[in-house]
Amino acid sequence: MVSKKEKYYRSLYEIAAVVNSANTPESVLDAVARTVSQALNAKGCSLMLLSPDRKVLLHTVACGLSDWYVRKGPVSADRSISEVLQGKPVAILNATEDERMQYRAQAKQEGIASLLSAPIFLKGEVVGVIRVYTAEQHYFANSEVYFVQAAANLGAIALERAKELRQCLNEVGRLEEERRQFVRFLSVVAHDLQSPLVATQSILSYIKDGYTGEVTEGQKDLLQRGIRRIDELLVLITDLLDIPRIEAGQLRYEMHEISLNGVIRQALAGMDNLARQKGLELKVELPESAHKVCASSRRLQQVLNNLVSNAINYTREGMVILRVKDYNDDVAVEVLDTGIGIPCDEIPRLFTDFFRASNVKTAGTGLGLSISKRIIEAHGGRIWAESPCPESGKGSKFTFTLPRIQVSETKAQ
Amino acid sequence: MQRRPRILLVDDDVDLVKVMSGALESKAYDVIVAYNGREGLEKAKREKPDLVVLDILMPVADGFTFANEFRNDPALAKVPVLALTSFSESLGQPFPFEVSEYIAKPIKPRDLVAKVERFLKKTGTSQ
Repeated sequence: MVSKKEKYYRSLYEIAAVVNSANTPESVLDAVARTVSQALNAKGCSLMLLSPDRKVLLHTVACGLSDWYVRKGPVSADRSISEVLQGKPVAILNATEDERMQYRAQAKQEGIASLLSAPIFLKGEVVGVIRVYTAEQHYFANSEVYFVQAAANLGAIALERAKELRQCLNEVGRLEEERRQFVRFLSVVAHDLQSPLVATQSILSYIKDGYTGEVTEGQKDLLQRGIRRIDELLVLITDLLDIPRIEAGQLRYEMHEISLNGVIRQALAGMDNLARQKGLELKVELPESAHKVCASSRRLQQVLNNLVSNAINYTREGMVILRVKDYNDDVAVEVLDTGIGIPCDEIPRLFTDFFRASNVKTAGTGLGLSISKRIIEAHGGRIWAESPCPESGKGSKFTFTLPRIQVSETKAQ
Repeated sequence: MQRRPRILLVDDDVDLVKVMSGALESKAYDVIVAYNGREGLEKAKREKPDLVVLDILMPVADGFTFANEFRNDPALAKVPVLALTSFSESLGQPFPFEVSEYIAKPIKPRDLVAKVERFLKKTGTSQ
């Protein structure tokens, strides 16, 4: 047979587990009432919390009692349990006759013989009362009183925690909603800023391509210049609006398990041409077994595009190499070139907003690398640059890492 | 006699529609124009286009709503849809139905015509 002591320990253990879990205030109190009632083989147990004005106790949860009894009315704090509220447990042997009982007739009808009332403490203050009811007359032993009180105090802590947790969750929900609204706002701004530019550019292309009639070479050149300036502005708008979008954590909703090789192939489509036009060799070294990463395909392509097009733009002769490597538990993508390199004292500032290396002459926003850094970090990776490239002693080398998804055996089948 | 290939152009930008339809008409396509998804659906059901060029962000039934209903119509289910997306706009989720190709805005009218020609050749509707 399980000893009483063991039963109490186990009950306290169970209550402590509830305290530790993230539960609603109601479920916490309910668990306390049930566990105490079972441990003492009692008819029932209830927890009452003091009203804010501390004048009455309100039944918060009860087990083993009829709804009728629970709803009989508030227990006035000054009458039946003033002693309890001063911090002392009170046992009543004869509940149907004891003068201290406020609802004697009701207790008789409910079949309550004896009851124990003990204070619930929180941070040294009485916040409510726990009551244990028995169907037979019962003298409550000291061990029982201590047990009930310990259980109730644990419950009070849990209650407080549950309330705090609810507040935190409400706050988190509010912030999430604010963030969603902000990203929606940015999408509208982006769309409204870009639409007129996109339309204007199409009109210029339409004229330049001769749809409205013959165009002279001089006119073509001017139209092309207009188109290029609009391109610059479109890129700037996209870059500027990308920063808050990425920082608002928008990437989370775009991240899926994808093949790194696949993303690289997509991103490099068209880059071959760009390299060939400059007489450069673009070498891509992909591992045979495709690495899986959890990433936004669109954003990862943006990073790859940025690194490879930079490498091509800033290399006059030689080659650009992109390769994938294992990097501890992560996977690393390296982009190496034989280009002009980066002045070594400028490397630390390379990934900051609007920074442009002093040896760069072509147009650009100076946001490409800082956005790439944000994207990689939002994926849980790192990005860095070395110049000259340690392997070749020329140009520069950019590396970024991404956490690798471990392919489980069942999935691999 | 075989009718000329019919293109339905759905975009809320009046200027874009003007140049895109001008470029397509110069290639002897029949171009039907709609300025929102709702109007686009009505015209698609009535005119049975051979190909649709569809903007995604539009007022009054966007491209999502359009393509959803469009694909549910057995007469239209197989018609190629070229979706236009503004190049910085994030759909946030994959397009929930099959689109034949995504085209990032800005697109040159000439390039759009080339894409349309390629798709019509694939489906055997080219003249």
